[in-house]
Amino acid sequence: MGPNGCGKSTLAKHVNGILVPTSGDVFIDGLNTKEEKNYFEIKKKIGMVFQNPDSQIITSTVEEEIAFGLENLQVPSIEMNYIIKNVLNLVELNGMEKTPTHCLSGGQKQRLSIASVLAMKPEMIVLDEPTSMLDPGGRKKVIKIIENLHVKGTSVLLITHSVEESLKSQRVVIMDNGQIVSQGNPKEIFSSVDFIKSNNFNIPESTDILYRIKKHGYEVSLKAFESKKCADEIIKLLENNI
Amino acid sequence: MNNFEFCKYFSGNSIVHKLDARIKIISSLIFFILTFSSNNIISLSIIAISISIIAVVSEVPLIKYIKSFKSVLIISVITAFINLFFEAETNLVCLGELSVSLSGLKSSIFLFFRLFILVFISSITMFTTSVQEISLAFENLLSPLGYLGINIQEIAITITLSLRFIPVLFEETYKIINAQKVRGAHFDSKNVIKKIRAFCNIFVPLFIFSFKRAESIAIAMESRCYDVSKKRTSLKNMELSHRDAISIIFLLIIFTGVIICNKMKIF
Repeated sequence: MGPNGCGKSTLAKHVNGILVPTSGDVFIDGLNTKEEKNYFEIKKKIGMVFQNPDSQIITSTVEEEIAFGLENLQVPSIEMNYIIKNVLNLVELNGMEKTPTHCLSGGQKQRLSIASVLAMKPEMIVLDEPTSMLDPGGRKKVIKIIENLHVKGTSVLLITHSVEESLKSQRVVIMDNGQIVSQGNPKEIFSSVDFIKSNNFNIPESTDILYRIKKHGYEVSLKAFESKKCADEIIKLLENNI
Repeated sequence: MNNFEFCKYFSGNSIVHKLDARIKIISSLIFFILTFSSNNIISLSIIAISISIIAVVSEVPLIKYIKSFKSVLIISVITAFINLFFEAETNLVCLGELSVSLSGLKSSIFLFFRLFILVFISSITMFTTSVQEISLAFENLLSPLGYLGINIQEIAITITLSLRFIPVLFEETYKIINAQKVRGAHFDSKNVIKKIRAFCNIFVPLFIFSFKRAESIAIAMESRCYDVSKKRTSLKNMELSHRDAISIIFLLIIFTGVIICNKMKIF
């Protein structure tokens, strides 16, 4: 996370070797991104999903889009159909193999981008603000897919502006001006409200409410990030005071 | 935006969709040649009728074809009109220096219908063949050039990308025009110089947009392991089926029919 222009996307592009550092080295699983012979291996290990779904869809139908990466990996065509069916199931686009890509909605396009990366079986998937151009419904679906991926054992590096999304992660890294400002468990980070506010981030509304209550001298935990937990916290406070 | 429909694949499961793309491309070429070689009304109507049958079988809604006709209507009218005056024979009507002859009238009517049939043929091929299939077919058809040291794979991917981005560019042009209109640009000014200036304002951002888009697509392709020098496999292998054999026979019948009719002396 971090403000616009802080270097999040640049970092992401370094992870899969699109950009090569001018100073220092980037190692992916022991492979230096500077060495040309590692290019293919690195790109195979790291899948990349970009912000704008329109600028990463290469072909004109759904199945061909997924096949594009597989063709590059020289997967035989008999296996391809099976893989395509599988990944479309994962992103809930089943039965849309023949649909033209320009007929998909923004959310569907983004899920297709994720599917076409997943088809290549990367060890890690890097998502550069995949939800920022989607409506709330599309956003929810994409986030659910990302969560499932993580459960199934793929590492996920998600770049986002949404606190809500980052709360679901294991570790949050906050960047500013090309530097890491803070990192750690999201609950720890977002409960230090003063720090977050000084960095111009939005804090979850429930945390903000509890923060204001706490400022008046009441004892509440700031680690309640969902409205339900926030309500519980307030009820507990009320019961204690009556 | 009218030409928009021209290059859009319409997904479906008809016999025409299932035909081998190579067959579709070659038969379109043969139909093109036949259309221009036809010199009487019977041969032209044989072509028109067979094309219409193919269009019906393709299960693509009629409105799609009508839209693509609309985009060439003006140009065909103009061409046909000009053609009216360029046939020196017995004159039907005289307008000062200009004169319209019977054969001129005939040739302009023919030209008008020929252009329509051309658009019809290419629309059928475009609506029923996905970009990937077209590029695969080209790759296949051009593969003998590989022996001359030409990288066919590269050409094929170029075709795929350019075909995919024609509709995107149209959409973008439309967006830019709207954005300029919102800020008070006039595109319907009668003054030619003003008009050219206004269109410069469209083409410059469009040009920049296409470069940016090209870069982001290149990045997306690269990050999905695309490498020009490496051999790629293909989702769809091109194998001819009995369907294709039947369509070749169908094509041959039309071909001989048209050739025979061309020999006849009818209007």
